[in-house]
Amino acid sequence: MKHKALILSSCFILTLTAMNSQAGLVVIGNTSLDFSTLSQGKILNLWLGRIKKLPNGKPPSIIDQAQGTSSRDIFYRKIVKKNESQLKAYWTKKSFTRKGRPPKTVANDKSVIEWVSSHKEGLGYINEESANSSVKILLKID
Amino acid sequence: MPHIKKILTQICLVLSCLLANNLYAAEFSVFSDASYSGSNQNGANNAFAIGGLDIFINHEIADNTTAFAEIVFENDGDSFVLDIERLWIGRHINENLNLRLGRFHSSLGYWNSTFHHGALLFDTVSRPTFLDFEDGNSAVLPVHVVGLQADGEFSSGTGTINYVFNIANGPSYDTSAGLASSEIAINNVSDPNNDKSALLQLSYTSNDSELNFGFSAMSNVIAEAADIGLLSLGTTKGDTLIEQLILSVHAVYNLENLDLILEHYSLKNDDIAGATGSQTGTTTYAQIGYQISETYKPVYRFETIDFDASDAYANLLGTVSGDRHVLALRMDLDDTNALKFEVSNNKPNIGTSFNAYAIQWAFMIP
Repeated sequence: MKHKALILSSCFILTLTAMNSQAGLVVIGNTSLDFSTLSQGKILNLWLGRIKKLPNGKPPSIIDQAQGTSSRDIFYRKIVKKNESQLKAYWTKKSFTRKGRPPKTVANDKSVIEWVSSHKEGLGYINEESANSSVKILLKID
Repeated sequence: MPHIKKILTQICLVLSCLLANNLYAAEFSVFSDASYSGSNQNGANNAFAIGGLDIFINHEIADNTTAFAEIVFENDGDSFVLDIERLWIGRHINENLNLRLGRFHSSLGYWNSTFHHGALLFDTVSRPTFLDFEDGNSAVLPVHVVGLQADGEFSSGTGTINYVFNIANGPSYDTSAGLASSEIAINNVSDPNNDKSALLQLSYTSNDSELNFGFSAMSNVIAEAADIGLLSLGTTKGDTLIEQLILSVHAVYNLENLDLILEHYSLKNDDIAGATGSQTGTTTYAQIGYQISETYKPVYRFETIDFDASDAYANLLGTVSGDRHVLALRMDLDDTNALKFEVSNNKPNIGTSFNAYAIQWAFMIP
């Protein structure tokens, strides 16, 4: 009986974990932004500093997540398609030529939401489950 | 003994950089290269060579305040010397205005203020000859300045307008050993007279970064650096040798796999110390590159230098007019290193033409 309970609990926990890992990532923006979506290509170019203006013509305030967070891993794997060492090489070249610097980073989804909601042109990415009404979702990444 | 002191100082400097990197998480990276080259020019031997060791540090030391240093250990032919190529501290006031103080790459044209000393960043083995650094054999332009810089950008509907303005120490030249015997001095810590250089660059970059074009103007008073200059000139330290106005235009077009770079310079040189009057020389290069695949990119560049035989500035530097064709293949092995193969055909107006080849393995340690 004890074994059965243990197996059932384990299955329940595993199911929850699987459900959580399947939750998507979302790119979020400040609620005052006058556009409601951003394409994957636009986001890639904004994050890599290749374009420096939002569709409204203003410079974005981009916030990134720190290395080691699962959100960052998914974002860079699916959108930017670069690993950490490729990213480091990319930003080193940009920094050396003074063409740009990497976005500032914060530790987790909560800090991203705080940043984005307090910057008029704020952009960031978080786990979909963390999103709330203080930010708007611009793109869902499955 | 002075050599040991010098080496120890350099080691301490590098250790400080490393410590700074570890303690304060400053961006700290290295660019360098190794190469093999040769030519059929009379007296030239083929040889292996190590490039300069370029260390750069970039750090936001306080809110909106950035410090930047680029230090290059390079071989001057006899031994390695340490050059501070860029060193500045800057304050970001707003998008329209940054103020910086220190040593910069002159914002003349495109190449000089884009690729700096990082061989990995450009597609050919060589720079355009007339954009050589001041201590190089083919230097024509003052590619560094020491002074105050104001820069910023303004948005337009389709792109961004950037400006860079410098007030800097004027360049000087030591004529005591004769013409074409020295190099343009940038004057890091003093100025032989009070005539400052002024430089303004205006450029436009489209929102999609496909198009960039710009205009630069720089006025220089080139002063005598020697206490007693060349006897035939009769100059002493601080006397004006040449008054110079450099105008340049550049255009860069990146379209998917194709990129084009064009730069043209006009140098109006008024001979103040001598009697050759005013002459205008021009230098131009055009480069086209096509990214065939992620790895391979062939590049072709045409360069031309055209100075009148009586141009005082060209004679001062020993600049030889002529044309150069460069054909290169860049092979990116990774984001951090690339192999480059280059052949060139050099046609100086004086002397015989020659062909040269070079293979370079350029890399960075991010």
